[in-house]
Amino acid sequence: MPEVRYVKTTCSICGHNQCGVIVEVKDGLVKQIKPDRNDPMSKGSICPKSIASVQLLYHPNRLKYPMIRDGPRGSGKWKRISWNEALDIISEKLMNIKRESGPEAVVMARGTNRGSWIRLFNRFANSFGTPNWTESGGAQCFTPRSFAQQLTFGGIALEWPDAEASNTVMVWGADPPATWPPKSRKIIEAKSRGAKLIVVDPVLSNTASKADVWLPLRPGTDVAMALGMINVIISEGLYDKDYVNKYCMGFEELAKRASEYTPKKVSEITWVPEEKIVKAAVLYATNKPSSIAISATFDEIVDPIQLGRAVSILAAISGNVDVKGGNIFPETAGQISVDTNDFIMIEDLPEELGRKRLGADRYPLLSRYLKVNFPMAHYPTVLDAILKGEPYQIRAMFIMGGNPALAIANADKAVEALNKVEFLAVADLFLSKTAELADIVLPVASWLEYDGLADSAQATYGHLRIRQKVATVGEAKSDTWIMIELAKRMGLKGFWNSEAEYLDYILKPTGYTFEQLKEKGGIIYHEPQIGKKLELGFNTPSRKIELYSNRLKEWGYDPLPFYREPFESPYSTPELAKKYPFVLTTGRRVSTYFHTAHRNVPALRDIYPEPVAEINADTAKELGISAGDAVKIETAHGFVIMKAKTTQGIHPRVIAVQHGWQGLANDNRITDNQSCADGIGSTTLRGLLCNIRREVK
Amino acid sequence: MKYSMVIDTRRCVGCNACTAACKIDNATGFGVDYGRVLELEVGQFPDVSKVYLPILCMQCEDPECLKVCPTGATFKTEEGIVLIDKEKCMGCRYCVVACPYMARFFYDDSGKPSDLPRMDSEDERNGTVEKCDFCIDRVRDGQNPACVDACPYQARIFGDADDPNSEVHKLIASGRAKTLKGEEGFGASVYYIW
Repeated sequence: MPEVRYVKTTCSICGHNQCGVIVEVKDGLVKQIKPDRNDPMSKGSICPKSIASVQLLYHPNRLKYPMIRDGPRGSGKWKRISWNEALDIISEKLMNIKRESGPEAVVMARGTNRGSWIRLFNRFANSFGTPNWTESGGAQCFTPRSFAQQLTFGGIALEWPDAEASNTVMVWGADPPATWPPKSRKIIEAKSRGAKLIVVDPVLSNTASKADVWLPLRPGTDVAMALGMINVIISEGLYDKDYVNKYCMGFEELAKRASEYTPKKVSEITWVPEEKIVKAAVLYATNKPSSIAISATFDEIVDPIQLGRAVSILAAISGNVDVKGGNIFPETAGQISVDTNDFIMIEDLPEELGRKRLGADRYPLLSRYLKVNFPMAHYPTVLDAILKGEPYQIRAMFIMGGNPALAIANADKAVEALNKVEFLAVADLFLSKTAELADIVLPVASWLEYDGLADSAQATYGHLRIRQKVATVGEAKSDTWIMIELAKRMGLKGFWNSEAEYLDYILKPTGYTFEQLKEKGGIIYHEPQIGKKLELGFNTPSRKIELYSNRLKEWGYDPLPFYREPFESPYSTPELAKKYPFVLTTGRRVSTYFHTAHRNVPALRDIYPEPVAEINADTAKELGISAGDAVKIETAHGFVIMKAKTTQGIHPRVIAVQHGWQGLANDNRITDNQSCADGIGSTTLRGLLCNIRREVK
Repeated sequence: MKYSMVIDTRRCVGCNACTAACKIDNATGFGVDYGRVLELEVGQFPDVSKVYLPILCMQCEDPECLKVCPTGATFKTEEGIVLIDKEKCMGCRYCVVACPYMARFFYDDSGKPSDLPRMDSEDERNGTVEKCDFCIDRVRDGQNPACVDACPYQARIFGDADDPNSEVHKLIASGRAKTLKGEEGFGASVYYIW
């Protein structure tokens, strides 16, 4: 009889660390991954990526042991080495550079949150002494919107819609069915109970297909839309007067600012009819409780801080923050929170090194330590420094979980920099386009191959779940293990002797060891305590929700949200728009891929085999483009070739392309990394200008 | 006994978790979709709506595919499931054309992207017709089909339509769940709620 066992664990294929799953293991091999419908957090949520992780796990092209370059960079010639050799080489090289050129000459860059090691990575960088840690996400994902929310209500409530108890849900610049199933499951449950759904998205997305009100705005004009809704809610007296009086400060100033954004004006900016804007605003403010679900749009437009602020304010004045059915704050299950400046040991980094952080001068909200953020180097500035040797020479890059060769705006320039840097070490599951250029590559474990905790900031709402090792592939090791072993060799402060010790450290306040928690079922759970901030005060200087931000004013920024046209648009650059008459978003996502990953997994690629550009069917007809044609999309920065999908679910003057493909379909060939958002440094990925035509071979 | 499936399209958001589970569980070759999710668009921008429609073999009462099979490879089981005997299938593809739901696939690996790895099952399957069999091995083992187990939104309900206590029986009997192309009389075992 074959031995079959079922293991409850936590998926992290998308980095959200939220889906409880059941893994069927037969004779030691993973056979099947199913959603765990009894999990109190995810309640059966799962995505194709998680289900197909069986093929990822046993993929023939997985990196199975450490390798060192055995020919010129990018030659594809590699020599197998042992883990000891690999870790010795990396730690010696990085320590030598630290001695010779200062720790800031070493850049530590991470990508996906492949598990829960991300804050350990920050801790590693600070303990090593380099201010130059950065993320491919970074200014493009979570950081700006988190910062804006921290400023406004001292926490990241917009990350979590308590949608199951909502009467209205507004999904803004996000498509949870494709990217965040636990959220979409809640939304579908709310809908089936009769809740109303508003979707703000240029494209008729998976979520928008269920919308009662769909606001297909011009990409990049989200701040105007939010201010327009605030205008309606205030001018029609629909705001929650009691809530505003008790919990908010700066309402008068906000009202004055919002009065500039009449529905008429906002309609002209966003290309959405006035009556739809009013309808959405009234519905959201009156059919309460209402919750909002957001995502990376909030980090990829011309002015992310303003969008994070404006939508936070919208939620606040409607009385929908920290209330049941509204938006709620994350809460640990009692473990040590990794999402603190204490945990990342920021205070251990000498101030003079902090000042050297690349980007600190131009993008202080991203790169200076302002005690509300995790300061990080600005990726495009890092690449510039590598290429130009200014303001100082970057000599080494250590990349974990990231693929900047594809994932960074103006990808060709990223490749140039990766080729140029003196020493490049990359840890990944596969020989990615970035790993191909490395001096040394380390094989990383997938989420099925290590013991861990699912405890990132966005994942934790009163629950903590474990992840369990159910398989072994070659010599692949977890990211956490790699950092701990490197830290040992480098003699870094604040690290542990083993992964097990680290997990027990995090769990200590809960009274469990990892093994004990595993035995107990692998989960700690309590219902999130809603209303705590209303009772005890918000984590801001005024202890209130700061509609008007004195801190922004102090730092030299507008204390109130305002709309700024994208760097390129039919209105801000009319001349450029003559050559590139369409508005472009590169924000399209499908459920089978996470950024640049997973196109090599057969079951996933079979679902979405080709890179797709969406174009309005009438526009396509005018241009002689048929569904399935190869099309060339060109911007001032480059071109891509994709397959046309013709649809009525997009404005006739908007083009939407998918993100994450390689070669001529890489969307970051047509994005720009020179014009970056004020203060926070984000590159614009939604709201560029382009042209499109049928590609004739 | 008549195994049947009811799909609530109101709960389907087109995430394709079902498709992935199907592909993994059945180790389908590239381009072979035992199950897939169609996107149907109605209207003109901006007054446009979209419905996701999961499609699979409807396990017809009176299957067109069976009628045209020249070798007797296609047959029906007592549970109402339509199967293909691989040994008898010669790959003529009459059934692929005859199926009113376009749920049958002839497998050859020519369309597969060159950067994908080869699967164990590919050689043995090349040149034959395949389709959904309601995951018959799982079902006989007392489990649900893979797509039903995978759906995060519980949009799919599976059971014996002949059992008056089953949920599928109740939904079908209530008239809320209807077959596609029902008026043409193929006797599909897959029902939809709109």
